[in-house]
Amino acid sequence: MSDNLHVTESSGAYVLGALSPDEAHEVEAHAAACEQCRKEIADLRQVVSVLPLACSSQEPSADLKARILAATKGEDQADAVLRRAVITTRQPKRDFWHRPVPSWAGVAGWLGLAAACVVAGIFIGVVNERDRMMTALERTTALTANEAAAPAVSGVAYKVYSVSADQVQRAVDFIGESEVWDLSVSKTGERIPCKVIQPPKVSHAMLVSDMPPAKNGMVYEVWLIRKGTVHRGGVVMPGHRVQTTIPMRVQSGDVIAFSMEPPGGSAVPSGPFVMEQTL
Amino acid sequence: MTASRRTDDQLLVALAQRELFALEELYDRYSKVAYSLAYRIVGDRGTAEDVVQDAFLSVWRQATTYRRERGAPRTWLLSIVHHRSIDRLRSSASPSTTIPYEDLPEDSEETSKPSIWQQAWNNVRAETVRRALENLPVEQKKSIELAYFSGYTQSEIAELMGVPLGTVKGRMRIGLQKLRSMLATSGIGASSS
Repeated sequence: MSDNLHVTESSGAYVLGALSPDEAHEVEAHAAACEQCRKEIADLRQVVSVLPLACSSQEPSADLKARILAATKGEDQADAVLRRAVITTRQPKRDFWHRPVPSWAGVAGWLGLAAACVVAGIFIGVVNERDRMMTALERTTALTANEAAAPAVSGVAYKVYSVSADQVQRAVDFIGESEVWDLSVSKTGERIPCKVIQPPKVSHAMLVSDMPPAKNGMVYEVWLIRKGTVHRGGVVMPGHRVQTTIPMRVQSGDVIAFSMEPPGGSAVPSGPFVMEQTL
Repeated sequence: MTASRRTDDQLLVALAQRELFALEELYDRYSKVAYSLAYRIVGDRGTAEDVVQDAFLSVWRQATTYRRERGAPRTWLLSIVHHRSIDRLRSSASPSTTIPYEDLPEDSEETSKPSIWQQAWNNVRAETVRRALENLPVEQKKSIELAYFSGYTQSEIAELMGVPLGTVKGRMRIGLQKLRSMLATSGIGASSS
């Protein structure tokens, strides 16, 4: 969708929540710079805000209010714990990662890094970046896939590849064009690895993490905050080197934040961010 | 209702200061419409109550970050209810299991909390919105309902109705514009709470 084309055609579907995340992002991106479309969306949003009144009137259980009020007391206690956790997990950015990785700098060093990437899972993330990434990677490295046992994470089958040093070198050239930010944090002495990878010429970014399971049956959800607008990044499943696709490109200055959400995630953050870092 | 009845914005300020009475007042005002919306979408009382509970707790947690530009407190709350309900619907059941509001029983029990005048005004507004929706051309009404109450995407609606995507987009947009016009004519400003 070009910035020169108004998005009024999609405005109704947008305010009704009938667009895919990508389509919605396009509308938001255009509207951010177009007063005419912003006004139309605001007008239609007001109409949508009264649609709930069209529902047949129903009464919740008499004890629902008491349950909600009781839950706030538990929330307050949990918040106090979370706030302490946030303080202990905030760490300055590491300059080493806060820059584009050069394409090839020091064969031995980068081979070491590449081998670590393969073993540790950045490759898993790259491989899982759908067909375009896979095609590019295979073309570049002529990898012969040796499909080893795949860790079952969130029902997604990941492929693990065994590659030669030469293949690693070629792969590093490819990965080297990506921007990588290390958001790893230390919490109560335990390091939680977390990297955000932005490969070139793809519309998505990747987050590779070792998140622990969230408490109380909740899940972690990642959010990308740009110029005050919060974009949904998706649920981050717990486990070793789990890759989450962030459905838009990331750039320096963006804020990556995590919140705890009910299973399945939420459309908007429902609680305070438990971790947040600026890329 | 007393003369010193707090506005929704004032309640949000109090919520940000962790004043529990504000949550109670907000609940008294909007739990019924929130629950009605959730029940209309998910079609199950237990799930609808879970959604409403989550939504009020979200408001409780996020009151400090609330900004008026996002919309009125009522709009914000109902937006959370709507998103949560659609998420539940998509993650658990087929959207077709939702109940058309025509088939829902009217709940005759009046809530005692809002004043009788507020309740009467709410009833007038609700009836006006229903009537406006009914007066839309059936394709426009159906497109809006499938999207908002059943959680279908525009592509799914185009497939369901067997029409091009552009047609669905047009039906939604024009339908909402007509609703806006009808509500304004009826003296029910869409933004009024």
